[in-house]
Amino acid sequence: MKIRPPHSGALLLILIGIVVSFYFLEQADTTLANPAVTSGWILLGSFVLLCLYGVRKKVPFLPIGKTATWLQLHLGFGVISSWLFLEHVDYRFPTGLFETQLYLLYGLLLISGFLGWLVMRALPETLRADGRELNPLRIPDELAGMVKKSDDCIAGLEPGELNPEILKGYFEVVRPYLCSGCGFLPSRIHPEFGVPQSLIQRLQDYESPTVLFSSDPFLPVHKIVREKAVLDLHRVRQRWLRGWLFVHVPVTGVMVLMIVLHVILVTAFKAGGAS
Amino acid sequence: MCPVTGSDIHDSEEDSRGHCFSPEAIPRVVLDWVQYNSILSIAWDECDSRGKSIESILQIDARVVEYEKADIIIRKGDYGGSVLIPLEGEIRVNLEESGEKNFARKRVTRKRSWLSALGQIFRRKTPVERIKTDSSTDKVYSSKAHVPRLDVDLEEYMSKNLTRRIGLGEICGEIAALRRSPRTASIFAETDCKLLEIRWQGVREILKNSKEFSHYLEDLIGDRRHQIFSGMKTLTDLPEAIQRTLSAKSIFERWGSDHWNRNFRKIMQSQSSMIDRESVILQQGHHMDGLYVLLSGFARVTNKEGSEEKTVGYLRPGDVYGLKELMKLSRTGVGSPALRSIRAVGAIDLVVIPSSDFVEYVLPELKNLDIDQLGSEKGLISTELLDFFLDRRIVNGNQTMVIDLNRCTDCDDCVKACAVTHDGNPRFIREGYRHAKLMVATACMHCIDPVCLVGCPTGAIHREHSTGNVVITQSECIGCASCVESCPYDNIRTVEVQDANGEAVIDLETGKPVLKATKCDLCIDQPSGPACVNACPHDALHRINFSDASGVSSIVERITG
Amino acid sequence: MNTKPRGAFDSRTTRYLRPDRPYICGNSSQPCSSGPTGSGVCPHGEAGCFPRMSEGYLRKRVQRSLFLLFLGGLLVTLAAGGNEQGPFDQELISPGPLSHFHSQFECSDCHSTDLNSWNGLLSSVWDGSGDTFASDGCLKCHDQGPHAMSAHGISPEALRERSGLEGVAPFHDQTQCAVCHAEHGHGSHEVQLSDSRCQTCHQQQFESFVSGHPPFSEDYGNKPRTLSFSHSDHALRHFKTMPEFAPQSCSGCHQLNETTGAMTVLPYEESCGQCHTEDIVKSEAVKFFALPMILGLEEMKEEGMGVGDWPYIDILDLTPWTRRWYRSSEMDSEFSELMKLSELEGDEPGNPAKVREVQEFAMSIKRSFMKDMISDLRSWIGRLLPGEYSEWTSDELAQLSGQFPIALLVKMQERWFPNLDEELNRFDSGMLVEPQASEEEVTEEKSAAAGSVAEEDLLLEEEEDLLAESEEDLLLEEDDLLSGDLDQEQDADKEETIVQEHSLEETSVGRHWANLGGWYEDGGVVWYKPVQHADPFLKAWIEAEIRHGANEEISAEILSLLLADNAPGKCSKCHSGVSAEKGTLSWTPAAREEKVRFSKFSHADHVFSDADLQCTSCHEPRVSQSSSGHDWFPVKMESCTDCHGQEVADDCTLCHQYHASPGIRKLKSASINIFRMTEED
Repeated sequence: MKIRPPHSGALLLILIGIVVSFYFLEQADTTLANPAVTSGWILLGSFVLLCLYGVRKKVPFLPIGKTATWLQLHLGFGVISSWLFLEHVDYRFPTGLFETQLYLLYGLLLISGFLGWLVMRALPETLRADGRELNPLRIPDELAGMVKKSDDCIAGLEPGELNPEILKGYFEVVRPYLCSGCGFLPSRIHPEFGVPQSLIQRLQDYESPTVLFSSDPFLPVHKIVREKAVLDLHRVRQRWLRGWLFVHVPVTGVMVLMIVLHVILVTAFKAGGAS
Repeated sequence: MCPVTGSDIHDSEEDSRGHCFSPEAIPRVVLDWVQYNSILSIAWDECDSRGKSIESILQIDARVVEYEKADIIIRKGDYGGSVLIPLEGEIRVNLEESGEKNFARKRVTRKRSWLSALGQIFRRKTPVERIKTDSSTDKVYSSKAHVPRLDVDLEEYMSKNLTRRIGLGEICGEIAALRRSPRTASIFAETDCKLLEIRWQGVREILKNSKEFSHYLEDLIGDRRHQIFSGMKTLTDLPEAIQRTLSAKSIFERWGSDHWNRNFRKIMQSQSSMIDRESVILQQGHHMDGLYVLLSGFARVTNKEGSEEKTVGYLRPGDVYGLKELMKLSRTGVGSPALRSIRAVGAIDLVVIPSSDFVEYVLPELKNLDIDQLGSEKGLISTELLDFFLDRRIVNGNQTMVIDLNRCTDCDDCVKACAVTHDGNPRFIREGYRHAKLMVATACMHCIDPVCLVGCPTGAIHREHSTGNVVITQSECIGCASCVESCPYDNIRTVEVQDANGEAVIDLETGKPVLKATKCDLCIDQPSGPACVNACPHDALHRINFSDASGVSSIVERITG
Repeated sequence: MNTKPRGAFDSRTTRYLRPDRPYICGNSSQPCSSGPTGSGVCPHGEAGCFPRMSEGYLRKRVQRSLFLLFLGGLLVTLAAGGNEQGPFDQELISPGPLSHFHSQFECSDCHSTDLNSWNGLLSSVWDGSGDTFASDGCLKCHDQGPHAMSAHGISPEALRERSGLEGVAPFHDQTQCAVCHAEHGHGSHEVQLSDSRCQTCHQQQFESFVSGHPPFSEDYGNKPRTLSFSHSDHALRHFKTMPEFAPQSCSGCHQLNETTGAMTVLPYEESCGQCHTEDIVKSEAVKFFALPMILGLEEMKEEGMGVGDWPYIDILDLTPWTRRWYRSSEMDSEFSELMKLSELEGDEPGNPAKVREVQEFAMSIKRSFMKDMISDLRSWIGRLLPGEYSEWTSDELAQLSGQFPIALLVKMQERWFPNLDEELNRFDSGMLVEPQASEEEVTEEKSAAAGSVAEEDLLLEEEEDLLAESEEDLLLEEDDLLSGDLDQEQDADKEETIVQEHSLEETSVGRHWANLGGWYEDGGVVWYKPVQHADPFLKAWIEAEIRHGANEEISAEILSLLLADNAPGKCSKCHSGVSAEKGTLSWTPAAREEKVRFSKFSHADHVFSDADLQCTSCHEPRVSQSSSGHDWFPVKMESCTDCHGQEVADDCTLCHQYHASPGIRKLKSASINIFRMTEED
């Protein structure tokens, strides 16, 4: 798995961002401001900037720079934000109930973001390596087509061409497999037959896979099953490629709520600084 | 009169001329004048005899336009699909290249304001393909939104610059109209004037029905063909006198059988090698007889490596080949054999400027910089990729959407962005031919040779004046799907339109749903330009102009690594 | 070349894919142009067409659900917490548990109760006032003095003075405790101030301790001396002659206080006392009280005047205490001239007025003395004090009085004014103070007076009883005793045969008797002889006069008497920190806790045993004392770098401390409701 290295501009941004934030934190230290308050405001700023990326995606028609540039900014600020977050919590675990919620949510947000960064750079290349250029929207159709094709194959057989055990195996194992989902982890593929190991194990009860997959009438079905195995791997990768967004985006929404509350509470209870 | 569309939304008297060029019928006086005093008189009877009277053609495809003194009627470099016949007043064509700067565009195309663009987010997204009853966005496409004026003292300009008057009843603008190429010269109004503007659909109708007229026009184009040099980026700066000399001495050639887009689909389905079915125009190693300038169609530049012909480049309309060899000739005095072979992709028109004439007339006018740039090959692109581009005729594109599959995460942000800017309707499909990690998506390429325009009966699909981008005026589209059929790339689709309530709009006569042709309009009215490019978070989506060799190679290099 | 079959996106049969729609058409073979409705239903009601939710829409749904879940949770929390305690369940919003000592507190102990309502909470956010209670909560218990939140906890003016920045306005900025000290588990409560925070005020002008730190002050390690002990004299002279007293090491006299890290001097008894107690006990006695001598008593008599009995004074010197006694005895102002004299001329011939004046004066002294005798110790000593009587505590008064015994007072009366009451009565009645008695009578009286000296012991025995008696009883008893004396004499005349083996003539005089110190009368003067080191009586008077003397003439006289080189007790010989001129009263080096300290050095971290580190590696002795009286050279920075090398840690707070005020560790325990009592209780 090859990972595209991060954009040099983003790295530069991270460096600059950290230096600038560091300057402000240092400045806060020398003016006797509460460092958590200063880092908190900068953190809030970085969070707003991070959220702006989501807003920008909704207005692709405005000439405010390409989304790709914004994504690099987003990633850069993401790194800065995680450093600021650690500064803000002073590198310790939270103690209060509300604080813990904030901490966990933000941690989840950052971790899912970094995971996303990783998979978005690592997966596309592998995803294309299987030669399938398939719009995800068409996958369900493709699957339905496979089931239909396979059913047609079986229906087109002369009676007695396949023994009943195999037919039973087809209807109880192979067909359910063709209709099944892909799960979250790639399944182990049998090196010889090109179908998942689990499927072979289940088939053992009906007919020896060696016999089954070498029997001529079953060959077209075997081909479809192999295709399905490849497609499943593709789907798993697709899932990972964008699945992290199902954490990242919803948590952002909740985070906004929590941050507003957090800001209200800390500003209300602040005990003052130096005057 | 106008073809009856029968669609239930065109029911008012005004809209009954919806697909005609002019909202008002052309007055009888004008028709009579044209019949006897203009160039059309030669075709008049012939057409009548064939049952397709010029009068009926003009009623659909012509209109009377008026210009004031110093108005710019045609601007060189613009894209336009109509010919003009002066009815009253004086118009002049500018012949001097140095004067062209006065005709330059001062205002770019009006775009939406940010506020109006932002309104798109809140616009109701259902139902899909809702027909617009206010044609507000159409106005942007309309060709005569603003008449530019010459901003100089007209008399002084005419005395100092070479111009030529176009007589009443003569025809002008025919090269661009028929070749789908940019205007080759600027035309301005010397006095207040009145012209008959016939869009190219009408001209084509007349040509179809009148041998006489088509001969005339061929002669005319032959007479004015020096102007084609103006349409070429290499030779555009040549003075008119040299252009005329060259056109007299050059050899005009036509190669290949069918126009490149004919039977394209059939050819694609055959598995045989493309390169073998292309006729060789120039054989590698043979005597180099002149500079090859491509007028239309595409040509493949190949290099023989061993026994195999490897594609090393391509020529698009306006491109030249042979500079390297001719430069050698001019420097050493010894002619060089052709370093590459040139093959015609489909049928092509080209002009060969003989070597001696090139050295004598063209070379002194060219700047060294140009030569180095023009002589270079698109060397960074692999043969396979060039083959892919040429075999698929993708080189036709000025705005080809190319997706880097190594970066694309299938997030469909580009499609969603497209939908946002088109009232909730995507205008392309994120699928298409792929070569290695490069995919050419099914989106309008805004071709240099837009063959989709050919069949359009109403002119709804046309090139935008300033940029040459191909756009469809929704209100003029009758859903005949001829453009859909014409597009060799399957980039145009018809959709069944719906009214505001989500009900399909049904043609009352046929009982079938009303269709409209849709395609990528390059977000022509959006402040940002193409939203898809803007929206891609991974910089995976590019629009490639195949004229820009360095741009192509830099993007391709990036994708193929 | 890797291309897909053309048919997949043939423009005639395929339609646009619409990933932006909430639902995707489920009919792959014949997709319709209208697509599924927003709620995911096929508009054509086609059987077998089950529109699928698009990925983006599913994500939106998840986002919405999660948001509503949290919003709901929040609202439920708010609803549950909505009591008089505030809009929240305070457990939920608490940022963390309080540290050990604070864990007993209620929220309202430290936070303003204004924040218990939404209104208060939001207005606090809106106007940025924050928790108005702020540091008040901390200072309820942590007594930081009046300048708690000023820089370094000391008054801005004092700080400015210390800084030496005369032109700069005092730094009045207030810093809340929470700036550094966080609670609720946010950082430790023992805060180390970061260097950059020091530089809020202090400009950094150097890189590190090694390079650029200003040198230690000229007297670093040489605190102002309070004892003028000379190490060189002792080491080079005294201990050579008396090696048995020489300490084996520094720790013979100096001891490390492990808890504070300070080096202390061993108590006097252990260090100096072995040799020097004699000096104190053998020193001079204090001449405390004496009356002026009256010359020419006989001549006065001849003039027809007289003062009755008057003591013969050995040493003619009015003590300062006597003059104070005069002053508080409400004498007529006309005697002011006489009050200054220690010798009164009673025989100025031809000047009866003058003689009369002397007589009057003498009698008012007697009257005053009489008044003392019927008074008590408290009011008697009160008359000798500087300043106002009410300023003194009974503890101080007790020390100042030296427990002056009544017996001594009575003895003074017997020896000085045997017929005090009679004389006063006669004088007040306008009669001659002394009856014109014969010579014998006079001698008799004299011997009787002498005899009363012998009875001193007896009287002393009765002292306790006498003190217990009321004033009147005392006087009555004295009368009885006096009359008893007369009876005894008559008996003695009758029994002349008794061997005169015992003689009260030889009884010890006061000076002789009081060689261990204490009160005695001798030669018409009342003396006090120092009893011990840190004699409470002397100490009390020195402190009293320095504190309350207010540059009074008499006060200065007392101090010069007590602090002279050869003064009783010889206090000032060693205690150079007690000085009338400077007004200082430092008997011993002040304890660390008592001082304003900006820096800290722990001997405990450096001194492990004598062998590890010689004291002299930092404290270099000098043979001759410096002008400031030190016999050590100041500690130099090299002392640090010699051992630590370049590795001396550069944190400011390693040596410097922010809270300079002495009250740093003090807690007002009364403020803590240790029994957790509610107001109803």
